Amino acid sequence: MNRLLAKLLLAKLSAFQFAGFVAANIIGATIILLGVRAYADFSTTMEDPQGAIANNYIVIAPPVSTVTTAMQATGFNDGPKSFTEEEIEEISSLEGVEDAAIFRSANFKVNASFALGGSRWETVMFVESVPDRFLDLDLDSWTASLDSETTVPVVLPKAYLNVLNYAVSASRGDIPQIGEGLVKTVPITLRFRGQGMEGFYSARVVGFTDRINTILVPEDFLIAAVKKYGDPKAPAPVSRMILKPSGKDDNGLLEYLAEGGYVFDGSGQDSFKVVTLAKGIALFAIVQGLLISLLAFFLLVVSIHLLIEKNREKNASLIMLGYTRREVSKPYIMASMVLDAVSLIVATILANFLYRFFERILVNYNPEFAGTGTGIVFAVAAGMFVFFSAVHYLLVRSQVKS
Amino acid sequence: MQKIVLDSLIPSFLEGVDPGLFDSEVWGTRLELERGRSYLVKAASGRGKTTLCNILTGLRTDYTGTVSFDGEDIRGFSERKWAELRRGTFSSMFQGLILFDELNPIENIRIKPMSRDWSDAELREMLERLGIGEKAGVKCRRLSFGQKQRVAFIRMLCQSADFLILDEPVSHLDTANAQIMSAMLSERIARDGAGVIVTSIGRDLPFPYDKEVQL
Repeated sequence: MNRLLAKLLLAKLSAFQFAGFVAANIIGATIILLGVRAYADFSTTMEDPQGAIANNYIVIAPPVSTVTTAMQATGFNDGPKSFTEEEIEEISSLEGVEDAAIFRSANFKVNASFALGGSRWETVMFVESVPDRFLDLDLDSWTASLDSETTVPVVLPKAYLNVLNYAVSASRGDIPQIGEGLVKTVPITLRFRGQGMEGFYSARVVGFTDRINTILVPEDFLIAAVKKYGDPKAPAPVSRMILKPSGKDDNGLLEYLAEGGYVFDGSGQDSFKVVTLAKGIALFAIVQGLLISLLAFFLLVVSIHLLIEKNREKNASLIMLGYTRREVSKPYIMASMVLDAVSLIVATILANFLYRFFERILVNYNPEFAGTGTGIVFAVAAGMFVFFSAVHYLLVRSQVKS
Repeated sequence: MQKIVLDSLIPSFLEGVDPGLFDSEVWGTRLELERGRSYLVKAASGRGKTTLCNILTGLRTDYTGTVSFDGEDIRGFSERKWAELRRGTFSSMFQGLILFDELNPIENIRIKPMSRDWSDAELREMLERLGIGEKAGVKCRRLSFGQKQRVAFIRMLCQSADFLILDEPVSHLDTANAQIMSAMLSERIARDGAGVIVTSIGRDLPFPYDKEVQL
């Protein structure tokens, strides 16, 4: 850029106004960048990598009203509460829901037996299934059939393992405490009874989840079993649904479920609610930062506008001397770009520095936390720079032209 | 550019006035200005000397009639084209001088977009010839109008051009300085054969003009 031209046109630049812009924009942009990074981290990395069901799914049960409970207690109700077809359809079509499915349950008797600590254990079990797409498992082994000799894979709630370890094992003393790895090696036998038939199937634990309190088997296996052992006149009620929030309307979804009295099942609700709240706070911070940055930007626009007004005669003189309007505009555009760049670079450094403290808290919450990295901060800062520069360019060009 | 032709040119401030009343050799007639020749445009105050200079350099378009450069009507020229013409075809010494008070004479000359870089020594030498060498580093706000006129004259000389346009260049200068300017102008023309258009309100730049026209 022509040094003399810059000296001439920027001589009346108000250092106070521009320092005010830089300071305000640093504050605003830092808040935006912190908010964006926090939002990105909340959105992508709060999943529990250990579970068979990702943390971003939620499981709901139908509302339990006092009337229903009373009727069930007095035997007037014909079974547990169930989702109606309309409810399933309505929930599936909510904007906040990307994907939804029902839990299928067995409407026949299921027992499981296994050998542990020299004893043989047998217990009544409830088995359910969800579509494979909701499971974070090796789906190649997540299949079984009634007539084959293959082992049935099952997913257990972590709570079962805890009960076994901390309650049964501790009180009995003769049962060793066992870990997830060991449980996966224990052979289990499932016994299905219904419609006058009985069948035995060997099973093996392939995963755990703390998201739902039910025992999961492959859906194709359960459908076949229901067909064989279940009473076609008494289908199992749809007592739970699994939802994948779309992220577009988390608050709306939470509100809908709360208003409808739906009950969250498993620990997912807390995680989902915390993440939704945290995302809400991050969004709020982004909006605050945007407001501060936009005000700062407006201050710079006004300052540059006043400077061009002050220089109106000089601008005209330069054009008389042979400069083009583009050349006359350049020092003003460059000055605003430099100020934008300085404030955004400082804000980027500041945001990355401050985020480290926040990151420690997230790591404490989830040791597996990896974060989205600084890339998004640089990308947003670059985007803001391009946006600010483009607006300055258009405003300065149109003002110098006039 | 070789030739400027003014044909029936009437600036807006003379519209509706009978050309016969002001007996002009420029307004409302046909006038050809050629490269390599020098013209003195004489007129009393308010007859449009500066208007003529501004029409020729594209700074005013409020006129009727036509002005053509080498046969091309200038009315359709773009902003970019005019910037090019002001950089390489015309070099003007404006009546209002167009100097920047916060810059010194050397900076005021250098800020003009030119086809060649002049060294400080060359510029100082020209300033010294016109008696303002010691003012080379002084901000122009501290110079008298006459001193500023000399700075503006040197800036006009420094730019290569087909036509040099000088709008009342010696209005505030003594005869001795006017003589030096005349000599410097002659040297310049001898070098590149530019055409010269000088306006005057009565105090003329002494120069062997090829033609005098009454505005």
